[in-house]
Amino acid sequence: MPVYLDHNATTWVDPRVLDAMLPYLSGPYGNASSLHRYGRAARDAVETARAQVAALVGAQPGELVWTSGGTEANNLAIKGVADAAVATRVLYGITDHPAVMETAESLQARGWGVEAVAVDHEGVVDWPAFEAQLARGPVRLVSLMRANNETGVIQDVARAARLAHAAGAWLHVDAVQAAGKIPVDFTALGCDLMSLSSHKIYGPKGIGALLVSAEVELLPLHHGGAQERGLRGGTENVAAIVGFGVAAELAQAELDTRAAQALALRERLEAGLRNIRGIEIFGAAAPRLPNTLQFALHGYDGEALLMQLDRKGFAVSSGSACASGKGEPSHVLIGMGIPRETAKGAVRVSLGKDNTAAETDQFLTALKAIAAA
Amino acid sequence: MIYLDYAATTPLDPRALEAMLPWLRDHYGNPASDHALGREARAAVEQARAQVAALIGARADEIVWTSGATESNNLAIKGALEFRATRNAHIVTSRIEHKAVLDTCRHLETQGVRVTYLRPDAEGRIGVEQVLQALTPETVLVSLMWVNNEIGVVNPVETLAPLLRERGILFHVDAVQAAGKLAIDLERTPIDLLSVSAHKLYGPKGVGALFVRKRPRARLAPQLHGGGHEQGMRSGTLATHQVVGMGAAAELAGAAMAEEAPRVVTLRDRLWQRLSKALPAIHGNGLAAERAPHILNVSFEGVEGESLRALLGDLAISSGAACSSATREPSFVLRALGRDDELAGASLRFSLGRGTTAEEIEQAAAQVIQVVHRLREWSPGWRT
Amino acid sequence: MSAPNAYGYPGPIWARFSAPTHVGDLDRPQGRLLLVEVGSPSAKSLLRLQLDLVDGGVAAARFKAYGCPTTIAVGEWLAAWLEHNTVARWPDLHAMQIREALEIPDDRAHCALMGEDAVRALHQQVAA
Repeated sequence: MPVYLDHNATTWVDPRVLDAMLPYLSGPYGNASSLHRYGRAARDAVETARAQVAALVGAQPGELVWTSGGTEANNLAIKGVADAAVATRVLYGITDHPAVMETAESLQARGWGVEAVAVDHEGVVDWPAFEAQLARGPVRLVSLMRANNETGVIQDVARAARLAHAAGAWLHVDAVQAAGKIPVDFTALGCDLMSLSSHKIYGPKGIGALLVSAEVELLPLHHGGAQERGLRGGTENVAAIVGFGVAAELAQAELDTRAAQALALRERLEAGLRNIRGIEIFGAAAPRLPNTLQFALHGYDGEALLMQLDRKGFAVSSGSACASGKGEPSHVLIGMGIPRETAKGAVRVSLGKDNTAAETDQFLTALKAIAAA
Repeated sequence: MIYLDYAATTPLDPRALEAMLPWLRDHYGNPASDHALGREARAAVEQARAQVAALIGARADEIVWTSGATESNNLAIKGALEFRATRNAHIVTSRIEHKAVLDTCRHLETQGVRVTYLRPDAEGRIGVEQVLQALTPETVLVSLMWVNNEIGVVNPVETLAPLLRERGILFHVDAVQAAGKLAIDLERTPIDLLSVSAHKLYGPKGVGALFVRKRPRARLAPQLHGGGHEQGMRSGTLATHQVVGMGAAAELAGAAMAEEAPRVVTLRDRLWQRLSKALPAIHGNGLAAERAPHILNVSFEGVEGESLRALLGDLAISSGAACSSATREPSFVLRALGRDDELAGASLRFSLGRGTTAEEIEQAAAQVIQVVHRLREWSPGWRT
Repeated sequence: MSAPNAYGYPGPIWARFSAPTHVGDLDRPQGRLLLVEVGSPSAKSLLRLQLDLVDGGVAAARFKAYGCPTTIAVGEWLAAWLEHNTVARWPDLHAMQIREALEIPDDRAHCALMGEDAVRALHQQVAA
């Protein structure tokens, strides 16, 4: 097996999670919307999971709507709010995930003003610019990620919530990368909507959630069926929901340990990287996720670097897995004002709960060998 | 418990589960990642795509993964309408479609789209002439289900497809109850968009597919943005194990169809024979029309529907489509067949599948016969 | 054959609905036969009660019902109740007592009212 350092792209399913899922994959149970006996057992399991996932982020179970993943959660949040409102303006963080960025941009066709919120060179929201933006006219929704998938830079979303609310806007937070890695509290942070994904926290792929506070008016994305309070039609993916629930419970219980381990490894790796000439670490001065490190090696093309690392058995990425293979520099780094040439060399290392110092040391050795060649 | 609700959902085939497990264990890469783990996941996704395509006579690159039939139907209809962005666009569909189609059409009506909801004929079918007569110069899309999920009647989509193609009208077919049960050959049948679901053909829940024809190309505006997965039509990280499970299930369903369909038809017809022989005043719904092999819908006079189902607690059956069983809305198709609300309420849908045995059918028939006798005996109005 | 309570009806409703012991007609009453029918086709429920009144006491009570499980359970419960209560106590029976005895949920409260109506109609027949 390769040394896997791409946990922000996806994680494996924790064996404890898979064990919880298996009865719902192999057992005889019915459609969760059916009225018969199997259906009720499945429905109970779905509600247990709802409480588990809500607890991870300090939300009420009744605020949670299941989705097919983080992308659908982000789409539902942004389009759902826009569809229920008179078109004004939507703001989104310029370093946000494509699922937020492209969804927000799609609203232009429906008559919305769509603007990016700028960040500084470290990837942190440019607060004075944000305040000025809010003051320029009515805003319905602000969407901002809790932590960036590429750089790991953490945004002060509580501050964003206060400012957004003062301007009469709701705040949607993409917490796909943050949940389970740092404490995230939907209620305490003052969020109105929040997107989560299972496969970033050792749960199965194909399941996510959107938290929606009671005040938010939202229209569904997928029409059909009364599931999820009419906000999300479709037969429930019970096994995946159960898996997400257990993964969330484990992430909550093990959050401190996982974060401390990842941070220690990342600091060791970062110290080693700084000894390589021409290295630049992005967002280094900003608060970052403990497991994430994005850097560029000047003079090296990122794609070529990744390919060599891949051949040596290291799974890393240039940034978002979703945008890989397109040869375009990361929009996150461009948004931070990093020159295109530098941005094209970006490599992201994202650590997981089971990585070891031996693995990060091997990675450093391999990288040094490539740099010296 | 005797499970006769295969049209609501099917158990996951153990062989499909076997195919899924490696992708839940060691082979966990994101199919969009550009490293060894990502590439192997991508290869598995593409193999599954070819398997699903093979079941319906399509090309692999005509398959778009979704989270299920609800999303497939939404993407097909909203995507097609949004892409065209025509003013005064008109859709023809029917009153007996799945909720995902009906609710999507109702939503589009709020956006200015005109929709004609056809009524089924006295056999529960939507007729070819009926569809053609509903077309207007503004009609951009016709959306019909291949097999009605309540009574199993087959709509004439194969006859309609070339007629709509000649007229330049997009044709979307919800084939959720047809795929794996009837032969579908999209190479021969010019349907443009076709929805399928994994968990109705012994695959996992939470995954489905939309067939989007390449030649001539059916163009859709994406409904999930971000990342540009699935040729830009449907963004979001693919759940490798899910699509692999659907691929395996599709292949198994295709291989089993020739044997399974006649077996299920025999059992279904035996169930009807038992019931109709023992019980007067019952009605087999849609028996005169062409039907899918797995569904039998029966209305029982002289019994009240809720009590009927309550005493049949040992049978997992449905009063209709699972998606509307929470709301208990009167069934349009049963009404069209001439059943009043009370009789429609006292109707049971038996849907058979791979696990159904002759013994189960005998037991189910015996239970239904006994319960109907009892309730009629208890009823002050029933004349014996 | 006893079916499981798969839809989770309250215990007292399920017990009476699934195994009633007072269903039937009183073909050969020893005393005076009382018969009432309450309910409405629009509510899809019909309840018929028959009593064999001997020396002012109920020798036997039987019911027939068409409707939801709660309607049938109310018929069974009333037949048993009438066999154990003198005519003098009939006016004291209120829908609330039926609801409490059978744990009838709010959305089926009308079934208990139908039971109260039936007993009231029986009492009028006795008095007439």
